[in-house]
Amino acid sequence: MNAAYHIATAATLLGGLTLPAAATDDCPREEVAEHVRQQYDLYGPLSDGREYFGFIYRLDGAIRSAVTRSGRCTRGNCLTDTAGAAALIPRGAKILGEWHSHPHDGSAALSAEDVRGAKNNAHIRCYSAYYSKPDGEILSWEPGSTSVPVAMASRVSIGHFELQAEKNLMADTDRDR
Amino acid sequence: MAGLQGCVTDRERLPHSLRAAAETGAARFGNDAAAHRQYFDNFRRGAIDALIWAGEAEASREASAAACERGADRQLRLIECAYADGADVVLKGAAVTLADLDYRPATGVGRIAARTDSPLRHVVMTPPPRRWLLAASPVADRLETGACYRLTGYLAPQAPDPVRFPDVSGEFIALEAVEATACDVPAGR
Repeated sequence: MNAAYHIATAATLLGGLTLPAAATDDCPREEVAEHVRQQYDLYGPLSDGREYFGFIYRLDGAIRSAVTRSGRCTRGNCLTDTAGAAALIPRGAKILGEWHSHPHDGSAALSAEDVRGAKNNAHIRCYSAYYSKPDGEILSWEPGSTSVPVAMASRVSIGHFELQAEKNLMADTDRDR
Repeated sequence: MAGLQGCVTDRERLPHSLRAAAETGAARFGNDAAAHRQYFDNFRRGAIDALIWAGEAEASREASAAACERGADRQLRLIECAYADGADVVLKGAAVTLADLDYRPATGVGRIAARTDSPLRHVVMTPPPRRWLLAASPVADRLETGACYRLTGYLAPQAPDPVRFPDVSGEFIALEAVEATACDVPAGR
């Protein structure tokens, strides 16, 4: 199935007009960015030999993510079926964007597939796109970008997650015993 | 709606030898249909990885099992519990193959190629020339970009997202590879 089809369907279900993101200034961008940082706190440390992808949506006033994961990856060779995340978006939700992690041994750069995927949904009002580098830095990029160099040049850092959060948690647990 | 068709498919895409274990595992997350759909999808992913990676999948299973046990976020727990459960049932010897999960056995001669602006690779098989995205596997890890091989493996049941991968016919999992010279033979006229 095609993720773009799901997104288009979900957007249609909302019954709203889609406007270019640049034409609006009432998008909850900071709320979305905060949600994205929280998602990376959860999924970023786990992105070791795998990656995660989430579609961000708002439903009943709450911002959430519909998340899917890849199978096992090696040397950055990761394939994530974004349709799996699209299928989890509840009916009536407002789509706000996407995020994905690159595995800890993966690339620091966006890929052509990343850029094409976000571009395909860039018509959705308020749509934003985020990814994380292997070192834990979280960046947004302009989803309307039509090439990797353009997307890379549009990146803005929004935060950082702790790569060792899992190990730190285990250490804390051990110390408590 | 296409998404709801997907939820039925996820359950039915599991072979009978895995379905009982999956249904037991999914029941831990209540009766929510969407949660069950997500559980089956990740259970299937874990099972597939265990079939591809065999003993090497144990580390992935352990990492997911640990996240399942410790995770405070419900969705994260669901994803990782399901993946660990799917890998576990296969690693413990469930009678299942990739063919039972709708993968199609395939053999062909092809050259490994890098993809522009991507860490992924594809294999160009002939005749006729068609590109197949090369999935991660122990054999794929050893294949040299630019080299020609006779490959044996499986084609995934669904092609990758055509928006992100407009130039590939599907996804190929290489399980055996032998160097070959037949990649440069001209097509018959």
